[in-house]
Amino acid sequence: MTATDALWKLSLAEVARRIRAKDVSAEEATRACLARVAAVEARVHSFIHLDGEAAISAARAIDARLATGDEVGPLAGVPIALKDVLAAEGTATTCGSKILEPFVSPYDATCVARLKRAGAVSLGKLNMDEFAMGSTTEHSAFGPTRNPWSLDHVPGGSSGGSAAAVAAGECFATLGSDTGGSIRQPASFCGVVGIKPTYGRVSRFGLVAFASSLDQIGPLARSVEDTALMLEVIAGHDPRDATSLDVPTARWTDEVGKGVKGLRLGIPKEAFGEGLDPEVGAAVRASIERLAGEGAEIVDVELPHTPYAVATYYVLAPAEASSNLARYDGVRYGLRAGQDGSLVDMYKRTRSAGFGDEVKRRILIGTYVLSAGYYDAYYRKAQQVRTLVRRDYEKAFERCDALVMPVAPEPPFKIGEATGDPLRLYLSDVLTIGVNLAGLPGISVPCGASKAGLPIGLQIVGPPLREDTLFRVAGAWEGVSGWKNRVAPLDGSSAGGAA
Amino acid sequence: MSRNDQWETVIGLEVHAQLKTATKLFCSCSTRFGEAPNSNTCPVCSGYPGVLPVLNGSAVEYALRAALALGCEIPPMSRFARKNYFYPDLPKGYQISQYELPLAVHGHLEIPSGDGTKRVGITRVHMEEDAGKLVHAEGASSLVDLNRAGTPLVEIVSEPDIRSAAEAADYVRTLRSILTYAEVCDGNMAEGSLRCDANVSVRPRGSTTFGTRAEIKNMNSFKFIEKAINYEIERQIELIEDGGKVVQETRLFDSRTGRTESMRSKEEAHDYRYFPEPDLPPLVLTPARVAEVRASLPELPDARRKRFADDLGLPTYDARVLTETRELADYFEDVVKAGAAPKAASNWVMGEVLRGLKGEAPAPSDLKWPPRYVADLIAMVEAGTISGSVAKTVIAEGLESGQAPAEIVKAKGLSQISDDSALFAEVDAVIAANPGEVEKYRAGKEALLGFFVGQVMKRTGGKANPKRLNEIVRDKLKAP
Amino acid sequence: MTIERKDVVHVAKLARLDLNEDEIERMTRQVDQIVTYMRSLDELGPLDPADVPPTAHVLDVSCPLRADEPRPSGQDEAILERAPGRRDRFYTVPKVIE
Repeated sequence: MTATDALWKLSLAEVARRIRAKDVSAEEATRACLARVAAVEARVHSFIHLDGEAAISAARAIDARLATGDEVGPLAGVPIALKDVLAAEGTATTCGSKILEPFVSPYDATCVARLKRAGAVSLGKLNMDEFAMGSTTEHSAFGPTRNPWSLDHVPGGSSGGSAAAVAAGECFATLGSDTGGSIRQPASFCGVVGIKPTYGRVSRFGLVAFASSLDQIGPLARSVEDTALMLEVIAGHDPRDATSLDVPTARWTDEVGKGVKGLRLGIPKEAFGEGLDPEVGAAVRASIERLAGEGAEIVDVELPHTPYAVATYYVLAPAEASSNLARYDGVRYGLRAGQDGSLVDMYKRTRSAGFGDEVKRRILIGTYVLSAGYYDAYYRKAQQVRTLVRRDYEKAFERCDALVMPVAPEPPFKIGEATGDPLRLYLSDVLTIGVNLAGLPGISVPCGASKAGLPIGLQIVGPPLREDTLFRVAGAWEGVSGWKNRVAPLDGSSAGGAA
Repeated sequence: MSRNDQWETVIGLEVHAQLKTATKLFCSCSTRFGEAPNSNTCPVCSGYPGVLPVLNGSAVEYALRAALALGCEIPPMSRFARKNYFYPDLPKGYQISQYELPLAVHGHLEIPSGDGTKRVGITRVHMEEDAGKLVHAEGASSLVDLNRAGTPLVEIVSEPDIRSAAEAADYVRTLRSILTYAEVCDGNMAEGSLRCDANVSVRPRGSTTFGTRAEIKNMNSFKFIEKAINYEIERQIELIEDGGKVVQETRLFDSRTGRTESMRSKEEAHDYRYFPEPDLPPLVLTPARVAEVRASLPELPDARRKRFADDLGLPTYDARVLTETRELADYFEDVVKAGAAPKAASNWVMGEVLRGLKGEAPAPSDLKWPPRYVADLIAMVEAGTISGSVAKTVIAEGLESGQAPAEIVKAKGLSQISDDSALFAEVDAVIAANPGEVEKYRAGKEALLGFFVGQVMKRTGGKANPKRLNEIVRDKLKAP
Repeated sequence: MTIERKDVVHVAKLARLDLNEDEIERMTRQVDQIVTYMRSLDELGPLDPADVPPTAHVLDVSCPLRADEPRPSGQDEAILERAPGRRDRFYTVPKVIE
């Protein structure tokens, strides 16, 4: 048996197998992760709330059930953690915001309930850009998270805590949310796997809304198989979410080893244009060549409306957000700033004290584009361009089974590098937001590292509900790349050379 | 020349009707009225972080029934939208309503107009959720109760086809009757199940453009609808005649003063920033589903009124009064089914039964007398067992006690005296007691017949059969 | 300039945000930059809604319906407990004048 102190380095699939075989206990696995958290958390700052005691008692309960031979779920005893945008009963659910700092959720999100039923042990809630608005995790009211591969760099965002925790070995998998790339981009920046499922694949019930027509929950882990395992648990129809699709789920773990022979992979030329960092471009092109070598057919495709995706997204997402964030008014829960003055004073004081800069900026933009006289020029127009973006993908998928492209045009930014220039950060979402606009599944897998040792991700995008294809391609790539189950050492060394 | 000749009033009404569902529009909380504050609540209707709305199927069915009862077209797809504004009774900071694509369009209803009817167009019918309640308490705080938040409503918007306050009240009365017939709303205005806002403007008679309108809120009875609109019409005419201009604004009716007051103090102009509700996919209604709901509708007041007039031969007025509520019309028809002639049944139901409904039993189902008793009573009058005036006593008694008419007549000895020998004795006694009047009668003052009949009635407590009594008195007075 | 100071002030009022002078100045600049960038959608020219209908939902499904069966949440107390201002069973807010 492996020494307990190295348990945290295992894959999720492996630790789950060992717990079920009673080679290790859930408590041992949990304590191993908590020890790793204790060693690295001060530097990485993945967590907003860590609840070790609750985790150990949950792990003991799993051990007790294992001891009596009770039926336990597929994730029995596996330590995981949740982006703090997911409601979990009895725990703080802050969304990285001061306005929800005092808030404790009275209910579980559907995905959280499903993880619990599967036996997973939650260590706590993970850091994020406030209300999932951002791509660096610097916009958290509780301080930034750092990239475990290079502490001077951002882990990406908004699910930066979710990506960093997995990369740092603090737990085996996490859940994030992705509205414009918020799972895939931090997965890419932290050298882990992250999938944004098809819109409607995972219930949004209990996901605190940012932009409801774009938001999806998805898992992050250190291997494609582990990610598939997590998705198998959380996916599926939920009557509490009217946008949840009533379609069967699949054994996605079975797809991981199938290879790419016979698959047609589309390369959108717009994803390799101006603004793409040469190192990123080179790493992604090399991956595509390797996949061709594995038997995939490579076809060139076009997504001609890609140049308009960012503008479209930054009309629609803030518009929905301005409405979704109206409920934080100091009346029923969360922060209320002061009792004096009129009702409007109370609203303004509460919201001004409770929301950070980026959230205020997006509320202003969203309110503006919906306001009288501007709706048609901005909102309706953006909805029409959304149709054009969707059609681009539909057309591309007539010629291929999946698209392969970079996740982000650049390697991770330095902390503080881009905070003063919101538009620059928005533009860096160009390769991920089309997938949200079209409601498609997209996965990010590590495909190498820059000379500076920063991870680079490969994005695979499929037609609606074809997560199976994503796991096939991602699994094939992972098999030849050798980048699998890597944990950031956090001992001063870097991610190392390209795989 | 009166003002009425110079000015024309244009009124459009927006009526909110609460649907009779057991649960709220988007969550499974109860819609029961009168519970402890904030007890019918859950994370969804309290606007908690992360929750999502799920549409109540019965609310859709009821809204569809209402729309079809109003003769609306049902587009194949409708969509929910968010109406954004901040108010403490609105937990999410937006109301889920319908905007660009409502459930139903292009309906109409017929309101009474002279001997005929007038058609008022319905622009649209859409579904939306109600807000909670703000209670204005003593001290520095207002109080919020979210029990009502999320209750399903339909909003029914009329065309600006209404020309007077009386027509507006008739419109709401007719609408209420249709909604209660269709069993989608209980129509209770006092409890707020039916609420009405009016857009009122005036224009010089003959003009084809609209004047600037004011929106009047808070009219929670038929009386107040008329009062508020009449006040507002006068106010606008006076304002214009004095050289002023009507401002487009919301005005609140104050039932204590009978005036409408500007609500400008409340807030700056609204900008609701409507956009499609991303949490709810569009609602698709197939023609088959629409046909199914249409087939399930009961006979509506218009059809019933026509049938009462044409098939049962009732006067238009009777048909209209009897069909105002479905329960009353059912009650009346049950009286006829139990054997009463329609016109007699109508007279009794519109007279004594309606009088009974003004008391403690506001709905016919609360009455202690079943329709069969009314039919029995009518039969007794027709058979001469009791007189019409005694019958009124019997029904009043019966509505109190619930006793059957025959029992009441028997117990109180109210049967008519048709037995000649008994009547002879009474008439003889009266003749003997009034020799002067007898002489005058016989001298030709025949109008005194009524005096003798009246005296006998007095002695018998009204039980004498009036027809027979008349004959006997006439006979006895003829010859000495 | 697409966005001016007055636009930011107006929108902040609608959104119930209080901005100080510095924030107004900075937000005006940043929001203007972003909204000006959004105008790049105008390069596509006018789009006929018959050819290019707006996408509000990517799902091709009809709104699902729930059974009308009451289920008390059992959470009314827990919900009230979270209120920052409460009197008995009511939420309190600063006095609303109508």
